[in-house]
Amino acid sequence: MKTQSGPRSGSRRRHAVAGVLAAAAMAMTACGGSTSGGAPKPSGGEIPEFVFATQGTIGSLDLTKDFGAFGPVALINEQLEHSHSDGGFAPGLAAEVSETPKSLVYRLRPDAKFTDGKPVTAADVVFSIERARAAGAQTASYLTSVVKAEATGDNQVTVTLSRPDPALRALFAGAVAVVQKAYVEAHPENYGSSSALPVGSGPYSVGSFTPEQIVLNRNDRYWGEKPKIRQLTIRLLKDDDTTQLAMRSGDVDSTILIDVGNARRYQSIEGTTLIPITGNSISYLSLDTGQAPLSDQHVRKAIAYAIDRKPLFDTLFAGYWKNLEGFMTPDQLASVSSPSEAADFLKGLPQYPFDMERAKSELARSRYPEGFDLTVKVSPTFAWSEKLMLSLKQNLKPLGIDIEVKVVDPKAYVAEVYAHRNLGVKPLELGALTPDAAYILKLLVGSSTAVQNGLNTANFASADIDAAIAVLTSSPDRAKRFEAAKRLLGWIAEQVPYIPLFNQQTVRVMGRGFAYDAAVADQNDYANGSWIYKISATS
Amino acid sequence: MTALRFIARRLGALLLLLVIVSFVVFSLLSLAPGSLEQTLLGPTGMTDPASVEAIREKYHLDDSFLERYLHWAAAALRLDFGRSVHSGQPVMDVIVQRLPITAQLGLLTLLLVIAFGLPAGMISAIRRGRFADRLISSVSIVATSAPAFAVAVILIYVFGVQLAWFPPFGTGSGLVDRLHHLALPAVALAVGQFAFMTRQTRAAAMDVVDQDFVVFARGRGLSRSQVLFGYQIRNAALPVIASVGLLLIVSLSGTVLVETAFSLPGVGSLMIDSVSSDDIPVVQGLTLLAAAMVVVVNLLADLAMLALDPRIRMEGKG
Repeated sequence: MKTQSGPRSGSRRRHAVAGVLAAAAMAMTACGGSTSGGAPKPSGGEIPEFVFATQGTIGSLDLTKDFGAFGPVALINEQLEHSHSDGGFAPGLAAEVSETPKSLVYRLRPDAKFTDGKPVTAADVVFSIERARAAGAQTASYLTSVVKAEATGDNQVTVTLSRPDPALRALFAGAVAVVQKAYVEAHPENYGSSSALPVGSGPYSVGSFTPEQIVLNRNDRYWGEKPKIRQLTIRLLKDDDTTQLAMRSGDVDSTILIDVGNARRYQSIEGTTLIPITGNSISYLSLDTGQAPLSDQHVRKAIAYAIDRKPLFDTLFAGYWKNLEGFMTPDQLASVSSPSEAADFLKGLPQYPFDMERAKSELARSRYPEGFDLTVKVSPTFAWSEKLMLSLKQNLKPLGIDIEVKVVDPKAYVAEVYAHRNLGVKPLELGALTPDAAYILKLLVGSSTAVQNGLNTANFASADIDAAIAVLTSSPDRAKRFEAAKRLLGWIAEQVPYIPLFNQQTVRVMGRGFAYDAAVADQNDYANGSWIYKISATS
Repeated sequence: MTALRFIARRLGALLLLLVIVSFVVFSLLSLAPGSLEQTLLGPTGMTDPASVEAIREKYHLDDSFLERYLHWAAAALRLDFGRSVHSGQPVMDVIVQRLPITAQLGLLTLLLVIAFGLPAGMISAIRRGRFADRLISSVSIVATSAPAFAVAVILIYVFGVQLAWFPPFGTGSGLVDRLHHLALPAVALAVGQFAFMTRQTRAAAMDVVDQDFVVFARGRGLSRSQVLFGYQIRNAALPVIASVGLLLIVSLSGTVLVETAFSLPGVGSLMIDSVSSDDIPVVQGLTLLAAAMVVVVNLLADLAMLALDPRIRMEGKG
């Protein structure tokens, strides 16, 4: 469920986080070098050991210090609820949750225990919430609408909000790790490190934590379904080359590919199955509407028509990508509409397929019919962006538009975005934390975010936009929110401050001897810990 | 100058070096683009002013550059290198946790370099101008020219994957397993240093071969190996030991690349991770450690020379 949103600082950890978006929309097995005779057959039964590889580093198992640890933490400190990509929830530590526009009431299971035998109390939950929203915690920015959390009963916690926040319940599910108050208070500085390993109530407890790997052992005190895997090792590998070697030699049983262009190399490993996972991230080009020549709508449309997506992305992502019709995926509108309604609406928006004739005519209608010069900086973090800009450069040259592509340091790129200066054309990606339209749109349009540290790099704002954002983020009426979303998406499609590029899929790789239940797979599996139940050993 | 005064002077130089190096590194880090709060909070975090404020306050980011440096330096004098920004663990703990791997790797590399470089250099010198000499020289040149990273990848592919003689990554547990895992990384590192050792040894040995005492020893009927081991190697060793310090510096930079290629959680990969995540306390700690190591090793090499060569001791006393 959680991914990194917006420009990343180039740290590998965050790159890994951005890619991890679980679930398959449809089950697929790999072609090529994988098992002969169709999909592997699951065989139930205990799995003594399982090794999962993830790329990047995890500095701490304390979610407030390192949000990149969300995968292991979901297994160690069980979440209050498990959020699904369709907007639904499954109970976690909270058996029941009731919502009003300005409050969330969690009724906790009475039988949940920490691994040291102590029960999980309302006080622990309140402590965890306050900790997660303390200023400076990495999780704090998701919980800004929370005023306070208090124990309102033996096993009941009430969270009061300052304003209606329909996205909060899903954010809560991912951002709040329930920790044991007494333990954390005893280790204030180094909770989450190897000298103060987390004590949780989830299906696994921490055996060891080194920079190389996290070893998790099945928690026999867990109240819920016991997973089949007895010992789970999460290996932290540096990069894809190493991961691939590890899968080849059988040292690693599974991984989630972030750089899906490498999918073919995994396909050639015997016995592996590749399962595509629909992602919740959108990749786009941001065009600064406040700066000439991009301030001219016709210029922006000319650029939009000059992008040839298919050959470029098919190569870069080995086919694991989806075209974005409109600025969001139908899944991202799940909280305000049904998937078919959303898909129909998005298809009906103005589209900009590759068409150089239209690009020429748009430019001719602009204030710059002879063309102009443009410098575009790209960051190595978005590997696709350099290739895309070079391709655009070729396509736009005959029109008189001269683009100079400069690769810059990832941190400098990010710093410029935050400084909100020299925005021009910026290739960016945004991962949505929840399947909630409000989340993405409120970050990218509107006057409140067209400022320093804000992500409205297109400076796309108006009174109408602000009004629509207000409805989208705070109205309790689902239909009204959908209307507001439709208006906003319509304006984006008509005026092209952002050019949607692709929705990247990630790929779950299962090594020889293991299968993943793709039929019930969901994007959020890795983030909410349910992936562990969908793995089985094959016969 | 007695040995003690010698040591004292060198330690004094060490302190000065530490101050200069830490200051330079600190300045470079501040000049680098990006800021700590951007790295720690991420884009959604940056939209919450309260979080940004809190981070800036916690890490004194609003203070001037000099204030921050002095703040750090004052703590460092008390041997308090602060806590890692990322894990909250004390910097020393973080480094100490990772040091053994790098130390073991370094030691294994040194052993390989000496085991192969020394004999190769001696043979080169003894058979100077002949086929063996030319062969060894050519191999050395190729070995040095190959970048450590490229060698690492080739080794991983050939020996780790195709032949599967060695594990392609990781550290292993237990002595034998550890050696098994570190073999390829050590070879990757050693290859680059091989030429240096060979050439040094060759030059030193060639020098010795021509000396009167060697000719005299041969003339008196001592066997080849008696001359070799009794006189030649001992005398040739001096310049080689002196160059060990240089070898260490080359090792340090090579370690960073090799540890990354083999996914070894040593201080080399820690350095890379810390720099890219703006974990300044750890970077400063590592920098000081590296500087101190270089000086101490050179000091030890000099002391070894003092011990080995009576002539230097005599000069010193005079």
